[in-house]
Parts: sequence; structure tokens; C-alpha cells
Amino acid sequence: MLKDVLDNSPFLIRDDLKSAINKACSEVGQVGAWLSGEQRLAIANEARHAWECKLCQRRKEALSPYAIDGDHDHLGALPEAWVEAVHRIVTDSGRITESWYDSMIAAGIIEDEFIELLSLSTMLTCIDTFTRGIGIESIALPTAADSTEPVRKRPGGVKTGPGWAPTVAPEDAGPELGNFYDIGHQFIRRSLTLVPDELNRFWNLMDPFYMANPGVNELEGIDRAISRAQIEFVATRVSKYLDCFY
Amino acid sequence: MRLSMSGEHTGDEYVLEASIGADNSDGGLPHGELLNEFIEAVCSHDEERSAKARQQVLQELGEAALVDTAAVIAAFNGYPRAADATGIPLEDYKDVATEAMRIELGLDSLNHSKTA
Repeated sequence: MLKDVLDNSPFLIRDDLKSAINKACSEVGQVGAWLSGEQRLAIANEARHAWECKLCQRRKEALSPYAIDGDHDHLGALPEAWVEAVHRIVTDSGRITESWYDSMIAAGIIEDEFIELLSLSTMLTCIDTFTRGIGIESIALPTAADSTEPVRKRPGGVKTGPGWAPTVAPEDAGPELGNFYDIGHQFIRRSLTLVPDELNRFWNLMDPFYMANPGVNELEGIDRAISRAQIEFVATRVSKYLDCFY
Repeated sequence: MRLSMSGEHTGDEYVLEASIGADNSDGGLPHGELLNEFIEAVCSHDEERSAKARQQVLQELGEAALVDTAAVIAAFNGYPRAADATGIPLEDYKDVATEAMRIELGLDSLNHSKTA
């Protein structure tokens, strides 16, 4: 079923991109490193639903989202703090602050769970943005979840920073990170290293959407149908749309 | 930063304001105005506007460009969320390299990172 949507696209989609999207969608209901298949499926569905939330819409229009109280419109499958985390990441990530992050952890979300929730919500948002962009229907998510329990084990070398979430720096990376840092160690690559399995899922999707390192630093020879300047124009414009400083 | 570097590399001069919303022109970039419209339509979830912009991208840039543009829009719905939700700052070398550009474009107001 997942494959049919992309195969029936009126436009030819690169095989690497199609394969990455199919893999990401098929893994939504599988057990994660810290989250069960059921939790992951609930997060993905909530991420898709967040755009319909009236509270999030009011907050988005407000000068500060932190000045608007209320209840989220949600699907009822996740604890309150998890709903807040998913909705904020999906609908207003550019105004996330350290205080907000701390409040999510204080509300009971384990830091590792937060990273997996962040990655999953974000990947689903990216996939939906792509299908919306080329004008095809959203890809149906799996209906059944894997019942295996997550291992819930941290990699070695974890320290807080360079932001407010814990990460593994290149110099501290152990075998759990494999060769991840061999092709680049920008902070954005480091941001999800607390959960290596999820890190790999995230970048396996992002690389074909944009480009894999070291191509990121090349100004010519990019195998895409728009120019490097056009790619970076789109990148900058979308980042600004999301109020992203980085 | 890479848009600026790309322009320096090819000898083209781009109006960077066009990439951050202060200027809706093409910014000196081929089809920049059309790309701007497509991005705005997709990111705002406006189906009717998206359909029109998509047709224009198809006609002027072709099918592969439509897919690649939608893919980059998707990608940059990802990196910012990962960056902003974990509070990562700019690396030192980017901080130095982009200082003048950030001041010119007023981008520092968006900085909610750990070092803000």
C-alpha cells in the first residue's frame, strides 16, 4: 500500500528518494530505540493531526506562543506533554526555547524519548510536505504496530551540548555511532546522536531529500534538476518560513 | 550562507532578502519568484495556491525540477525542526562567516539557541 502511492505519482520520483520514503513510512510502526511501535505510530498520527489543532493555530498567530493557554485538539493516544511536544515541533518549532524543552523533560519525557519523538514527528512532516508539494495524497501509515519492547540503551560518550539536549560529540563517539561522523560533523548532524538508531533513520530520509555529505559542500556537480543556487534559495526561504536561525 | 557562496562561485549577485521574505522578487536568481511562490503555497498548506504554483513550476522548469524542489522544501522542513528543538547554536566558523549577513538581514532575532 505504501509503495502504490508513490508508484502512482504522476511525476517520476528518483528511486533513492522513493526507497527512503517507503522505508521511513514502513518503520513508523516498528519498535524504536526508546519508543514502542504503538507509541511511534501514535506520534506519527499526532504529528499529522497537529495542523488541525486550534490551540496551535492561535499560538502561531500570537506574538509569543507561551502567552496562550488552552487544550490541544488531539487524537487521545498520547500523554498531555507528548502531545504538546509533537504539536510544538510540528507547528511552531522556530520559537522553541530551552525553558520549554526543560518543561517537557520535567513533565516526564525522557531526553532519549524526546529525541526519538522529535525525529519521528519531523520525518512525518517532511514526507507529508513532499507529497503535498508534488500534489499526491498523503501516504497511509501502517495500521498495526510492532509489539517488541524497545531496548532503551544510551550510547557511550553522551554529554549535554552544544544545545540543550544531550549529544555525542565526534571525539566521544563509540561503536554505536559507526562511521556517522566520517562524512561531516556539523552541529545539525550531532543534534540527534543521543539515539543512534533514530539518527540513522532521520539521515537516511534527509539525504535523498536534500543531498548527502560531502555533496553539501560542493558548489558544482550536484545531481539535481535545479541549480545549486536554486537549491540553497529554496533551503533558505523554507528555513526562514520556519523562523529557523541555524 | 551557501546561497551567498554559490553566487560568489558563479559570479552571480543575488538579493538575499528575496530568500528570507523581505523581498518577493526573484532576487536575481532564475525563476526565483516562481520558487518563492511555490514554497509559500506548500508551506502554508494552501492547496489551491499550491496547485497553481505546481503547474507553473512544471511548465517552466519541468517534472524533475518539480520533484527536486518539493524534496528540498521537505528537507528544510526537517533540519530546522531538529536544530530548533535541540537548541544547537551556529558553529564558530559559521558564526564568524555569516556575521555581516545576519546583521544586514536582521536574522539574529530568530536565535533561540543555547548561546542566544
